[in-house]
Amino acid sequence: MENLWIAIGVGFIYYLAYVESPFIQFFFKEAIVIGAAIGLIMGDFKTGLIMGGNFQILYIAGVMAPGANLSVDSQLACCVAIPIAMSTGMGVEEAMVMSVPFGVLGVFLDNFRRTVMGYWTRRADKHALQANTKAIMFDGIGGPLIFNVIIRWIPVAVIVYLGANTATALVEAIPDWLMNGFRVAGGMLPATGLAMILVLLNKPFLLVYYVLAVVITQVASVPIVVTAVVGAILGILHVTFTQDKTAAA
Amino acid sequence: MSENTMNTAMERNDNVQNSNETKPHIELTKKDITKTWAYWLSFHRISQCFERYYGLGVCVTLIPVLKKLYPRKDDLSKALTRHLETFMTDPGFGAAIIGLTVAMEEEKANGADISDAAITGMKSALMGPSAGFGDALNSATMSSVFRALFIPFALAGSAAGLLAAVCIFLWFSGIAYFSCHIGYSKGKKYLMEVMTSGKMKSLMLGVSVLGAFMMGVMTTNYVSISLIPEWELSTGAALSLQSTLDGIMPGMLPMALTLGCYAFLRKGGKILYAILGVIVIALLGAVIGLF
Repeated sequence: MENLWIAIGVGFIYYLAYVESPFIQFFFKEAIVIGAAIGLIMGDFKTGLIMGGNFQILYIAGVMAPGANLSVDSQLACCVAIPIAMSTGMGVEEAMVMSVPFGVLGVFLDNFRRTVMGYWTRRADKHALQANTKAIMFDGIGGPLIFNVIIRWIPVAVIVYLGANTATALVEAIPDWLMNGFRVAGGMLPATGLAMILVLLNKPFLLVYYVLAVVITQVASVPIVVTAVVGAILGILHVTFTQDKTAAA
Repeated sequence: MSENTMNTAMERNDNVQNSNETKPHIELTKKDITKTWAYWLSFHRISQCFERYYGLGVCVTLIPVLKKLYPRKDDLSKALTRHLETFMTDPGFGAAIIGLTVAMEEEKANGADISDAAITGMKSALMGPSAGFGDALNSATMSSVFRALFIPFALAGSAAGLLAAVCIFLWFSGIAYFSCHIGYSKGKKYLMEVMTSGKMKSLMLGVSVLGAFMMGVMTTNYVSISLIPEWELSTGAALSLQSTLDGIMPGMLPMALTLGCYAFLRKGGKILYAILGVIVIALLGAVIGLF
């Protein structure tokens, strides 16, 4: 019974992550928030928060690849892997690797959603001809929100519910060498997210600053806020000096 | 409506220039623009689909304004249809386009000669640059800098980690708020200038440097690879592969891995394949006793 409520709650968190109202999504798309919310539901806020923080490193790039197509659904990955990890006591590195297939599943779900949502736009076309603004409001808000309950909330609740009941047996069945490999992979995976951001910044010369940051932080332990200040100063210096050059030329 | 009034209405349409005195002048207030901003950030993405992306969302966003501007049903109907066109952009800077759209609709409603194509054309012309700036500045850089700053709190189990989301919320909402008002009040020429000016590019450049720098910091903090192999030398001392590499340059492997992923992604590789590739390397390495 308890599992059922957890499953419904986690499904709702996933629903909020993809409710696609930016005001709500600024919060619920973030792995840290998802982890904390799952922690609250499962009665261990702190563990959830720490899990969320770890997942946030892996999925630091958010969800979008250039062109706004979903490449990995980090929210689904979090919503499935965090509850399972918390209930089985699995380490966070292993949980990250376990989450990858769900990240892929989420992409299919999103493509399906964006295809069927076209229905509401076509309905709105008709209502626009009648200048029926109330109906358009429903086509653009209420209808999709109801659709999303079916597309997002229910399937994830089912996955989490089934997962909670079988996960312990499944996790115990994983041999040690594979678990060890998962742990190693979990330590390496954040590289992919960080590389994604570097690609999004889209200027190869920026790698100079990337390497500089690695070198500085390797030789000295610097608080993160200090590194941000140093980064900002470098940014200002870069702009100042490159501008002078173009002005002189 | 009798036939007589229909005819006079049509006559009025024929000399549009002089029709202003018969139509009441409708003016939008600051409150209307703020409401548009709130609608934009609440609703514009809910209905997104592959066919027209945020088309329906823009229409929903503009409904309060359009209802005020076009009291006549057929005008309203035309305006609603006009804003169901394909639209897609950044939620932050994109609000400037919405503000400008409202300004153009206001002029049109008050008799200015603005064609449907002019409004749609403006929207499609600006959505590219605004998405470009928005993706790089808001989504890629600022969001990840906020995450980078607050992840350590979350990892330590402190609720302060949640401030990452609060910062992202405030950043996007603030950008969208000012963009929406500026787009409405300053007009098309100004927006075009800003979006193509050197200032905007300099800001982007400076912030990208910060973003790249933070990714380097995060590589050190969170990407971990350690090599296991160790050999006993004839002198009896142990030679560990990891400490040898650290002696050359600490943090070499995490950086090499990240740059390897970068090279793969930059060539158009998919992030999913990068993730799977890393998992395979890790598993193989773990099996042969390398990691």
